Amino acid sequence: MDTVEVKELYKSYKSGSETTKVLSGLDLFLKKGEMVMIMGPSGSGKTTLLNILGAIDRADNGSVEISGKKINKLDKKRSLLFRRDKVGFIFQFYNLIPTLTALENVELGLEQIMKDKKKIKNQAVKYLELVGLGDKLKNFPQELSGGEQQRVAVARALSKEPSLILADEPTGNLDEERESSVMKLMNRLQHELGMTFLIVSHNTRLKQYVDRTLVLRKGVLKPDN
Amino acid sequence: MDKINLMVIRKLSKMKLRTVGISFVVAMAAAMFISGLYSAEIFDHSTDVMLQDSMMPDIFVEFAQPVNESELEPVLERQQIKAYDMRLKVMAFYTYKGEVFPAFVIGMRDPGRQDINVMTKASGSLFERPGEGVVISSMEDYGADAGEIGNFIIGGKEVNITISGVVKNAEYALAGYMAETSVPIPGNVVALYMDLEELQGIMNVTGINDLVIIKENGADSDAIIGSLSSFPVKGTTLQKDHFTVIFMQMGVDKMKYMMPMFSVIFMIVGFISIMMTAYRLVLNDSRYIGVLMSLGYQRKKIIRAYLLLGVVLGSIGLIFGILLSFLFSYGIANVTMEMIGSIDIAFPISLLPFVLGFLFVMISVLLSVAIPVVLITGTSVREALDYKPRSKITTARFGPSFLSRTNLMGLRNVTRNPTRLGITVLVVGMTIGMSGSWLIMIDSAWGYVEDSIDSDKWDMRADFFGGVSVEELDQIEIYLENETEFIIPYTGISGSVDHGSHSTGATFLGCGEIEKARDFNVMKGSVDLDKAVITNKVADETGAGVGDMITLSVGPIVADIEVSAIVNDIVQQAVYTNEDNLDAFFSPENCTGIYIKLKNPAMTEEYAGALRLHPSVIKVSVKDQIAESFDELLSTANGIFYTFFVISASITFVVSASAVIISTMERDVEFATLSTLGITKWKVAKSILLEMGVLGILSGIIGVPLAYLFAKIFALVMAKILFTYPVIFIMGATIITLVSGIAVVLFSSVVPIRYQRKVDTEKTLRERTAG
Repeated sequence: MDTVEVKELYKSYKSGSETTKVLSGLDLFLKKGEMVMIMGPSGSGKTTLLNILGAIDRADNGSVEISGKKINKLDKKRSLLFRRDKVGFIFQFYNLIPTLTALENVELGLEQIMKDKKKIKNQAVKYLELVGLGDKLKNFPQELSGGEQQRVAVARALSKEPSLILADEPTGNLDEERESSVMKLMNRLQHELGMTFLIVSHNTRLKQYVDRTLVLRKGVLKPDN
Repeated sequence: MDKINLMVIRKLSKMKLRTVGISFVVAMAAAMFISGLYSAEIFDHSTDVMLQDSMMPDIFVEFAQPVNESELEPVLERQQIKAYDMRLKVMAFYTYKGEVFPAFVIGMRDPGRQDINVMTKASGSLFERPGEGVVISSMEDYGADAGEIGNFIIGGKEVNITISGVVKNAEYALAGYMAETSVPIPGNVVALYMDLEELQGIMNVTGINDLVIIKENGADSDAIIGSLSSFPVKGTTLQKDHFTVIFMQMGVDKMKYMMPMFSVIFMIVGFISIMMTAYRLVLNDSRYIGVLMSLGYQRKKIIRAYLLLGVVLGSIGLIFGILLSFLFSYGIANVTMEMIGSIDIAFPISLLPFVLGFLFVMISVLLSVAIPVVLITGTSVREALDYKPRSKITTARFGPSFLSRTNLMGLRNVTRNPTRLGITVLVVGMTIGMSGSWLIMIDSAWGYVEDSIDSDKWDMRADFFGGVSVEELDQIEIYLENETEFIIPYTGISGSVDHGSHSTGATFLGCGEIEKARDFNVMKGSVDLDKAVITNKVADETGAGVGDMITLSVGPIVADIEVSAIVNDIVQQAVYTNEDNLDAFFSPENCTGIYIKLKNPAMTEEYAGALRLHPSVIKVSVKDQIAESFDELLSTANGIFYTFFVISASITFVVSASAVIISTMERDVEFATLSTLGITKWKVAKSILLEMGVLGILSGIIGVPLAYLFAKIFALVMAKILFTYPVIFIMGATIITLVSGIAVVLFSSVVPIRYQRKVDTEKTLRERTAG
């Protein structure tokens, strides 16, 4: 069974009297442990798709099923619980909480799903070590480089061990070297932990790290030739 | 309109909530500033209007013996007098359900006169025939009301008067307060106006002993008083020295001193609040400013456009501020006047408070918008475009490990911008201090008054009509069935105290044994009643110190005396000495009053009642009743002070909310991120509550000492106009100040919490983190 099953997805935005169709009957299927990248021009609906899959936004029509859960009809509370339990987000600008240390940022996500403080800490340390930041646990985001901050964001998303990782331009702010390091890390975790990744990016270099690349054009996904 | 100006103005209409928020801050700042100044003017003006409309006499003349009207009339007709009224005035008693109250009974011919001492009907009608009378409003609860039968003891005779109506006039506008006391005491005094001939019949006299005069414009009061020299004039009082005017002036002065002080505090708080909100508004616009710069707009055009924004914001705030200031001023004046007497509020036409308010608001708003625009337009286009409206975040590893990470985040958010934290804590602390100062002031004053009353060792005090010989005192001892522990005679008279070129009015109290009857709160020197003990107010006004010679004078009679001590006294203007030093003013065998301590204090009421019926006694003051009266006065004052407390607390709310909302607005991305992590809005709200709680505690800690500082400043002002009281540490008021301050700041977290609840995760992430 696929981790992500999206069928006939429609989404449009209204701006004044004008309606812009963003997604027009989009289908998407992701297998467990698969890493897929979506490319497409600006405004093609990549981030909209991610937001719908992460239950931040809602489609006008169609079906979205993630790990057997239909999410398009979830109310706000259930959407929140779904995000908490099933999804991990990685943002281009990392979106770390500036007043919390690297360790505390990772613990922040974990304490929503775990009660035991010791287990939370162990899990957070484990993932920060996995991303190579075992020696920077007590550093605040502003004391870390861009690449290190992105790795904290990755650790925060992965440490919950969610069914699906949604990454929006995860290397958009990194140089080539850092980009490679972050992508290799995600690859490693993908294979070691069997996590499913959906990455949105303009960056063609990332193709080498992913299993498949799709292109979003005119509201539908097509394989990249 | 220029496109750039249009852009800025349209911006305001788009951000409705923020425009309303900033305008509200401006309006509150303007309202508090203006009402501080304007309420003092309302008070002043209302008093003037009341004195004018009521045709208050310019001169009050009291005769020692009844004078024949027909002899007086020709003398008065020769003077520049617009109107006069000849009356018979006697001290009497009013009894109601076994209680006895002092009463002034005034016999007059025409209660309906509109040319002098006008009586305004509160209820019922004016008296028309013998057996009827009107009373001054204030004692309705004690049966002195229209339609009731009032029981009076006039000249030792019991007289029943049908009260035809209740009236108000300037002469007894403050009838609820007993005259002859330095601090106005609700004295439950009845003032009755009745038919002159009927009163003459009761008193068995044919003449009058009281005259009130309104002089022609420009006429000389001294000349009019001088023309009466052939009559036995006992005393004259000019309008400016009348109790009503003095006390009202005292109130006006109090307002005049105090309210502008609040205005200054509100101005500081308002300025910082406006700065914090309007400044941020412009900083958030830096990208647009960068775009304008890239389009080639001149710096001065951009600055001018944002100044226009400031003018619009300031004007919206000012309109509401002016409306609010009328409301606040009316409330402040109404509550205060309710306390001192029933005076109708009259709004003066005065531009000054509004002009000052306008200048204050416009300068604050324009500075707030101009500074950031000048800063931004001073950078390059690229820097302006790249500018991110987020302040630098200061991080610190603190917080207990048991806190959840969301709460730890809330705790650390307190210090994320230390400069802003400092300003916020200071401003919110100032508003908490202002709230608390009211509580500390009232409690300090209350404590001081209670201590003063406790320092009196006598149970009751009797004042005599014209003086009593020493032999008669023995008779009074017998009259009180030898149940007294002490009877200490004193002589008292009012006059002036001179020292060098300075002079002030005071009560001279001659009593060598006064220390048996009361304690003194000595500030300087030591009490030696062979010399003079003066109050600190007399010392302040005359510049006299310990060891200096002062001159006491009553009319042409003077006496020089050395100052032995300066005391802090609830009777502000007094000189205490032994009776021998006042020989020049009195016959040495006579005393004007006595302090009495009973063997059994429980019998005070009973003996006070008996003493009131003694033919020589005109007034009996029972210490416990005075204490109760003070309690009543302070209870009324409490109402005002608590009203100010609530107003100040609501300002704390506004300032705190407006300060915190700015830092909250910078955190939309953090709120959106927390939402992606599945963290509920309630958990985020709790973290904000924690942050606000800490902010409240810090502000409260600053606020408490500020409250004492403000209370001390107010006490210094009060010392100039009413009485001196020390500001003391009061645990209750301190705790209430601290707890209420924290509570109000916590309550104000509804604003940032409401804001974070409305943050749209999808929209925020799309707009604020898009590459």
